[in-house]
This record gives sequence, C-alpha cells and structure tokens, in this order.
Amino acid sequence: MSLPRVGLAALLLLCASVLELAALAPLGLPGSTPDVVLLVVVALALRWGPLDGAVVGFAAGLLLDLAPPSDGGAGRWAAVFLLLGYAVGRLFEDADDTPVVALFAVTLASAASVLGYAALAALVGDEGVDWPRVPGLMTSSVIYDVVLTAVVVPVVGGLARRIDPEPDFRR
Amino acid sequence: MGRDTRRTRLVLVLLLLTALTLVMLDDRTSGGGPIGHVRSAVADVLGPVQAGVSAAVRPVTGLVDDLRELGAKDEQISRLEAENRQLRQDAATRENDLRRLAEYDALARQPTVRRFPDVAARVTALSRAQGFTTTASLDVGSQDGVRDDTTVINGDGLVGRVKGTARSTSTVLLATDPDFVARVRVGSTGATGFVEGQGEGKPLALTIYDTEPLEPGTALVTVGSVGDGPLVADVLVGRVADVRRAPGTLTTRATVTPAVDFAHLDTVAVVLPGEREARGSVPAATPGASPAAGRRQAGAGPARTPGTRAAG
Repeated sequence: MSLPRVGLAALLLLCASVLELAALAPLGLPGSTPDVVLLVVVALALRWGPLDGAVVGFAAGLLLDLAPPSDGGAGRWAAVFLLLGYAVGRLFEDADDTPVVALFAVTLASAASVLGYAALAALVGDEGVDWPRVPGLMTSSVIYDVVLTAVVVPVVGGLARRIDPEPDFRR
Repeated sequence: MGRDTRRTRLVLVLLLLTALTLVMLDDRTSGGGPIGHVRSAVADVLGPVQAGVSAAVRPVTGLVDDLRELGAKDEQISRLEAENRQLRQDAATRENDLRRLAEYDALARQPTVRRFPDVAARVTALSRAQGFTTTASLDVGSQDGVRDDTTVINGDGLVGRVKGTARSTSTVLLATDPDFVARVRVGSTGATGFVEGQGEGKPLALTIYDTEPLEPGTALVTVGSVGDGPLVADVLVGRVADVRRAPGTLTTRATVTPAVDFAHLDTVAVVLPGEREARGSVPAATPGASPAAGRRQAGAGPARTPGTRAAG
C-alpha cells in the first residue's frame, strides 16, 4: 500500500466511524445501524483489489472494535471486515466500475457482515448473540447500506481515483 | 485462491491471526486486560471528536423530532414531561419509601433521604445494533470525577453502569445489554431478585425467589452494593410486565419494562462515589426516649456505638 493510499484510507475510516457512532447510531433507526465504515471498505476494495482491501478492512474493523463506546470483544469486527475486504476485492477484481457492481458488492458485504459477526461472536461464546434478530438485522442493514451506497461509494471512489488514477493491484 | 500472490496470502493470514488473537485476548465479560489501555487511548482521541459531531448533528436530530411534533409548544411540553416523570417516579418509589420508613421506625431510626453528588452528562455515541451490545459514550470522564463501576441514572430511573473511563469520556453499559445484571428489590414487599438485560429494544428479565405472588405493574428498585459501586440503592429500574411462574416452585420469572426510554437517551447523570450517608444510631431503650431525641442524636458521621433495639 502506497503512502497516499494509507493516508486516504485512514482519513475516510476516521470520518466514517465518527459519523456512524455519533450521528447515525443515536437516530435509533429500526434494525441495524447504517454502516458507513463498511461502505468505505467495500468502495476501496473495489478500487484497490484484494490485498489492500483486506488491509483496509482489518484497519476499519479494529477501529470499530476500539472506538468508544466499545467495551470488549476487540478483533471481531477486524476479522469480519478483513475477510470482507479481501472477498470483495477478489470477487470483483475483473468487474467494471459501474454502480450496479457497487450495489451488488454492498448488498453481499452488508448481509455477510451481520451474519459473520454473529457467527464469530457465538463461536467465541458471547451469550449476547440473539439469533432470532439476525434476519431482521441483515435485512435492515442491506436496505440502509444500499440507500447510502449512492452517496458514499461515488465519493470514496472519486477520491481514490484522484490519488492514483490507474490502480495497480500488485503494487 | 489460485491467482493470489504469496504476499497477499501472507498478509491475509497474518492479519486474520492478529484479529483472532485479539478476539481471544479481549473477552467481553472480564473487561480490562491488555486491550483496555489501548481502548482508553483511542477514547481519549475519538471521544472529544464524537462529542463535537454529536453536538453538531443534534439540532438536525431535533429537527426530525420537531417535524413529528409540528406546531407543538416545545418548552412547555418538555417542562411538563419532566414534571410528569418526576411525579411518576415519586409515585412508583412511594411504596418502597413507605416500607423503608416503616422499617426505620421499627428500628427507631430516622429515615434520611439519600442525596448523592452527581455529574450531568450527555450521550455522544451509541454502539452499533449489529454488534448485539448496547453501550453508550458520555461526554464526562475521569477529569470530572467519573470512575469505573458507578451508577448512571436519568430523570426516569436507572440507565446503566460505567464500564470504562477515559480522560474526558466514559463508556456506559446500558441496562438492556446482555452483559448487564443488577440486584433489585420489589418496592412493595422488599423481596429481592435480579434483572438481566436481553438486548436492544427488549424488556429486562427478572428472576426472583419469593412466596408472594408478583403483580404486573409492580415497581422495582436497585438493591445497591457495598460502597455504592457499581450501583447505588433505591433507583427505579422499571415495572413488572409479564409474570411466569412454574407451579410448585418458588422461582418467579418476569419481564420488566425499563423505566428509562433507551431509544431516546440524551441527558443522564453519573452518580459520583461520594461520602457514605450518615446513619443515625439506634437509641437505647430508656423510658421517655422520644423520636425527636433520636433525631438530635443522629448527627453527622457514622455512629460507632452499637445500638440496642428499643423494646416495644
């Protein structure tokens, strides 16, 4: 990962996490919280491919794991977003840069993030995981994230294009 | 995985191992640990930012609320709501107060209204719903006197307990969090049990062992802990909703509607660990000892003389 990429990813992730936890979570929308951080990870993984997508995903998850009001269970979102960043980068490596592709990627990633976190938390013995709520959380998560895709992904993609116009995955 | 370079595979595996190591290190129930310091440092940096953003978007959130209540006299409504909450809480804890009063009388003690120092705070961030936790950030921290394991209340009753503090922010475990457990007392009978959180938007779960049947609508208050940490006594937790009791057992399970509206948390107060309240000494059984004399005796400071119970 080149230095401009690191800087851009750090800036976007910090802004996204603050926006999500301080502005979107207190809205008390039904179901899950609109996941701007996930959208940033997906957008960057689409532009930069699997390796950088994985690194950005890990950093994003770790930020969510440690940013207030987190209170334990660090590493879970890091593991989930790491795999999502990698998978999105890998699956859509050869896809065109179109809105439809972005929407499809966000839908998959959004549903997978909720399910993946619930599975991982249950695996390490967290009794707070409420499986009956998972389908509703997945549905609402996909709806919110798809709505926000139209705003977030073009902006992030545009910024990413500005710092290196011709992405080379094997840099 | 066929087309991946060795470097991609190496980075992926290394990061995954790092994440899973953290998962093993940072257990939710134990708290503290090596990650605690990192988390506190992150909170020092991000907490003020969250507070700023939260303050900035609050008018917008307020606007959404205003649109719902178009043309309402906001100020008057909020004043009346506050008054209403106060009266409701007074009414709900009345039974408990009366019972305590009776017990104090029986001990010839003078009841004291407990007053704790506290610090007002605002909720600046909430946890994400898809994490199955319900925690909140407050804009007060160790520099305001907030410590871990202190009680958080608002105008309606119990909000939760402080689970982590940074310099200017703190993290509250809300009563609805699956990790939250609190001992409670039935206001009218004094029987104790415990409530547990069941997740966001769900009522609390009450378990109580008592021969007396439990009526829906009964108010529950906190029992409190030694040294007032994590919870102080006699804070309204909520009211009993559905009671389920297996026949032939003493175990009553019930759902409890929390007194606090967790969907609209804003202004709260953190109870500061303060002085232990002054307890009156139990007067000796001398003829003509009037309650007023006992009241005069009950001066400042905890009494050291062991009292004897006044005979009938």
